[in-house]
Amino acid sequence: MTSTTLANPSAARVAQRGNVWGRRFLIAAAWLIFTLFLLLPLYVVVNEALKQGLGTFFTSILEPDALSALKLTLIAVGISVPLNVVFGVAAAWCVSKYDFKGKSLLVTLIDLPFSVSPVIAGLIYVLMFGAQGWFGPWLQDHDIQIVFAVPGIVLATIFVTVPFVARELIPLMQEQGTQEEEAARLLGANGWQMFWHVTLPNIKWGLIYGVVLCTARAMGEFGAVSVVSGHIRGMTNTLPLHVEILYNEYNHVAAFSVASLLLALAIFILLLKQWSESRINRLKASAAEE
Amino acid sequence: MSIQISKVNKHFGAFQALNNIDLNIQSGELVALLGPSGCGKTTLLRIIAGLETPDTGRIAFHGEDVSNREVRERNVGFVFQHYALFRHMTVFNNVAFGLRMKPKNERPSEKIIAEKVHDLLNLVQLDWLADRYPEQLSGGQRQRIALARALAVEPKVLLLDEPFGALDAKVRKELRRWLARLHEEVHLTSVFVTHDQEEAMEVADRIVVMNKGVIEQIGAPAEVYENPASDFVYHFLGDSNRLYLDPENHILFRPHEVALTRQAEADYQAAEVRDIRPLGAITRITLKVNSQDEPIEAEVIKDHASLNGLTRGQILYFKPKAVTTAHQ
Repeated sequence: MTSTTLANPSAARVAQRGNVWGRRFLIAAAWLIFTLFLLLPLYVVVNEALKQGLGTFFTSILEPDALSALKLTLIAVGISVPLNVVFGVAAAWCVSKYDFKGKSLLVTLIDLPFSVSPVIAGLIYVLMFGAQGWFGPWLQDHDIQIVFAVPGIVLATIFVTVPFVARELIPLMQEQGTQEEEAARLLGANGWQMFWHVTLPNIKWGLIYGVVLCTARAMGEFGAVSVVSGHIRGMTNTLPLHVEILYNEYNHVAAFSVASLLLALAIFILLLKQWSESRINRLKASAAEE
Repeated sequence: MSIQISKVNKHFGAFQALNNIDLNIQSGELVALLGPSGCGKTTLLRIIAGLETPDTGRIAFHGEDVSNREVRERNVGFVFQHYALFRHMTVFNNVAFGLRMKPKNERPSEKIIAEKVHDLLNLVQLDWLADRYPEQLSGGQRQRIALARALAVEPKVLLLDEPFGALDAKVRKELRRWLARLHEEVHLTSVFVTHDQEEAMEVADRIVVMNKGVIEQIGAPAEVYENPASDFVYHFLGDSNRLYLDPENHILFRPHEVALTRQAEADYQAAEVRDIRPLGAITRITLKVNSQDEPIEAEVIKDHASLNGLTRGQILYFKPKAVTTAHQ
């Protein structure tokens, strides 16, 4: 007994010393990689954008084609995110509150857009709604343009972002169970009252988190949108596509200026995410106390 | 409001949760559905509430068939084992919820709601907690709030699903006495589900003993305890000893129904003392009889003469005082 109690503290000290150096090394390595692969590129983008001064920077951003790209990006986000919220809440509700056949298949299918390459997602819409596509002739007869126009871009964005809200809500709602909803019904609440007063407040922060992730993806989506866009300047260019065009034209300063605009939006979204995440964690911590 | 349950069957897949249940509950009665887990008692309660639909059979409140009536139209108060309080609402808002959900033309004004909520919080003696959130309350407090919330809509029937199951022993005892007193005050037809026979005996006017989806016996607590209809009921309602007379026949008797003595006497059987457990007012002695492996437990008052200086390994003589049942 005595020898082990004597040996233990020194062994613990050795282990701790090892821990200290190991820890320092890992933290230093993490910062190094973070700096090299994330901070440095960000710095390069902003630096390149400001190379010819603030004047050129603002001219590039405020140029009509850039503004129209920004407008189109915001339209795509503005349509796809609300639809996503509706779809995500409905799917999560369905999966977490009911038992039915094919439930696991549905959950797998929700993830499909995550596993399929965005380029394929774009091609699907070209094949369906393009001039030679399934619905092509019918659409032409009725003078409806989907591919190489705004509707196609919105559709492609919706496809790519579909899983975000549902993925965030399903585990949260499964964990919360159905008892509060049952209690609400027993107390005379109708379906809508139950959803509005009981379900929604309980999933609020998870929903916000899902919306933030979905928004970030909708803004940045390149692959799928690129296929259906047709790259018509001032018409069907979103911000990421506009950056690519400028870059291909060797207009580096303008490309990086618009890129930093996209970057600023992304950082803003990231801060929102951080904030909603901390709220969720706090809720979880209080729930765990029960 | 009386409740009539007739010919209710319920399956979950291949599992038969309820098998042809018939039960009448009188107006103002406090009935316990007692049985082991999986016996169907909670399913029956949820069917009464409308949270589950029976495969066949009907539920009537005061003679009126409510089988096709939706949960929210049945006007039952329901208390969950894990409280199910709305976690993002204060205690006050939880209790007010049912009143605020009423259609506009029936909804009382906020002033009347506030009065009513405070009355109910006073009834459960927790008015001082009105502004707290559920997570800030103890289990016993939460369950009392859940009860106040259920009573707010003036239900005709109160259903409680293992209401004290998640609480620790002391709080549990306090709360069930309190519930029995409350029931005497408000006289609301109440059904509560429990697997704890002591709880059922202490609180209920009548006990419905269930096992494997069927009702084994219905009766007043003393009745089911003294005259159990089956071995199952006998075993479930209290500790029991089995003493084999020969390999085929045995008798059943409860630990407190045992006479003990230190000297051999007529009709008394010798046994070795295996364990002595003082449990407060009574002491439990575990005895080993030569003729069987199953031990016999005896409970006597702690100053019983036979306990004086008794140690393990000594020989005691025992005799079952009252044999309640003798089954094959």
